[in-house]
Amino acid sequence: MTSLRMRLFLLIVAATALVWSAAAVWTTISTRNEIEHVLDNRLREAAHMVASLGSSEIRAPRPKLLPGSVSESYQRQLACQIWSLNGQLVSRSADAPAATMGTNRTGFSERQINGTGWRVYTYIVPDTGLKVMVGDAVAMRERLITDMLAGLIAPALVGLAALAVLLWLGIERGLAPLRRVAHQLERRSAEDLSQLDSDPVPDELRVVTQAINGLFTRLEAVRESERHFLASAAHELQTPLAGLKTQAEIARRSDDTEMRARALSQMQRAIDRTTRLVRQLLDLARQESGPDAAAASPLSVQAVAASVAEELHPLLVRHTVTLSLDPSIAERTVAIEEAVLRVTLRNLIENAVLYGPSPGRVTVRMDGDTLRIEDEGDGMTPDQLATLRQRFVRGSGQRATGSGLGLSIVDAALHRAGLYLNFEATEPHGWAAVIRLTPFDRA
Amino acid sequence: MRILVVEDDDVLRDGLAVGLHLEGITVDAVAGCEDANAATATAQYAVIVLDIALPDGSGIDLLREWRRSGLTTPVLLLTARNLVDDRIAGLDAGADDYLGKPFDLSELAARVRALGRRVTGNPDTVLTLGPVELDRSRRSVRLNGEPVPLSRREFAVLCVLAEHPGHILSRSRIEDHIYGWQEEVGSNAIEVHIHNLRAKLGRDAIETVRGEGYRMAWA
Repeated sequence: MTSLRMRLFLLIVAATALVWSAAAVWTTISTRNEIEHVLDNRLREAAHMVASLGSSEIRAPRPKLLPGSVSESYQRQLACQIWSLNGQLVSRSADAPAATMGTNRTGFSERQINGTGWRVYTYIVPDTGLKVMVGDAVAMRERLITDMLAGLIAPALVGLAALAVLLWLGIERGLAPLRRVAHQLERRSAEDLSQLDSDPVPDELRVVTQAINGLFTRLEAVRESERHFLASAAHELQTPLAGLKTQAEIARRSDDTEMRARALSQMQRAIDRTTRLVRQLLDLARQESGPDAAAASPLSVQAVAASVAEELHPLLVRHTVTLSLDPSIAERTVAIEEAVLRVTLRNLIENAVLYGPSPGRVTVRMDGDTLRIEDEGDGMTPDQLATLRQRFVRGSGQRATGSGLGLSIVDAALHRAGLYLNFEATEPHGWAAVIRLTPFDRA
Repeated sequence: MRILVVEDDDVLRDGLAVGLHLEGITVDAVAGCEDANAATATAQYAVIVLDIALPDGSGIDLLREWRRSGLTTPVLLLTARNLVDDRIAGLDAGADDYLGKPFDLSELAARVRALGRRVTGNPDTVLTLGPVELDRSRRSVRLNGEPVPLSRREFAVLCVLAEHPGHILSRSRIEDHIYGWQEEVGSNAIEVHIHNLRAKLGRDAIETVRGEGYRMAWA
């Protein structure tokens, strides 16, 4: 059932009808018993009354036993017969049949006479031996009961119908706040993440509107960060493209061979940098959207570090930086996904090379369970570090031009693996990126 | 015409310096806010080309600071975030023009020249002084309707003099307009250019005011 209103309505109406039906059955049974009881009493009283009149006056015809105020259909309810001791019909009322109605003992009995059912009270007068039989037609009694029940149940049925209408309208009013919220949601565009009206809403609905508003707030924050990310990514890509375009134009226009060669080598640099930037953007997207990085199998730190070192060889040569893989990483296996370790090592080593002294040395070592990437640079203040971890923020006064994405990527990747990146100063001078890893055997 | 370029991407900065030089514009190029402040403090630029995202601050903040301190040099903003909001913020901060990255070198040069003309008070690209007709956007010169071939430097010198008709310009002031920082300026370079201009335009085209400098003959 899709309509909440219809569902509520049917439930309440069904429950009401059930309770009322039960009440009606109960009323029927108790009313019937009560009426039977009253009518039987009347028969008995009437019999005693007739008997007390005495045999001499019994001839008086047609006793009118019911007052005239009763409606036509109940007239002549009672029939009466008086029998002598020797079985002679002494007298009978006009409606009474000729055949004997009752039994030969004092008490109630029921009997069919000429197709009509009679309930009869027989009273044997102790002095005279006269038998007084007073009875009424069973059909008459039934009609009385039916009429009475109809009088009770008909208003109840009308009441139920009226109640149904009132319930229908009431439920509609009661559900109005829900419909208002639904309408608000329905009307807004997909772009609209503003809060729902803080109109007083019922308690039950407040939880829902609060949850929706909370969701909207979070969505808005995500969208804002996406927008910032896109704008920054666009900026970071457009600048090298502008450089490329300008240098290409110079190469096209210039007649000077030297100038042209210089423009081409500048283009080469711009392409290298753009390539790295695109790779980093893809890394970041991959790390952010990827599932949690569970370690499938033991990963050799040495193997990954060596492969990253090979990849970075041209950069190391250009900056005359020596990358040394300390013997402490040999034979070490850790519980981390290869892509995470690779992305982490590459970005941290790249940073150390680009922003550390040139010529210089960068060392990768394991100290207990801690992976350290050490350089000989001056490091950063905590404030600088905090800003550097934001996307697209570059260290100030840097001669090297990076995208400002490196640390964001490392943070995202490590976060997936449940790890965290720290920095610390090293003795006697230098700076180290520090990650506490989980050895595979303890994972 | 001498301009300042503030751009942190070194490939683009180099491209702007070389490319605008090809367009006959003398370029000083710096990479950040600090260097840009030092440059504007020491030299007079016709136009400043300013990138918004700089490593040591925002170009828009820098521009606002300049305007507050009374620097009136026209500024062209280079914006990568091609968003209306950025452009509005830039123009409101005191920029005179903007260009989205990546851009066409010739368009940038044309806009820079247009900004330069506006400052000299004569937005007409063609300056006419007596028989000399000087087209600043095509960088061509006619004498009595006949084209006169001039070198880049000669044209630049003639331009400065023509843009200040009736004024005496000292040799160092002319040098300031023509040469960037990195360029070696021979002690008699300006004399040589003036000599060549007189040979091509007539002896009386440029007057020498002894001890003060040079002046266009026609105003």
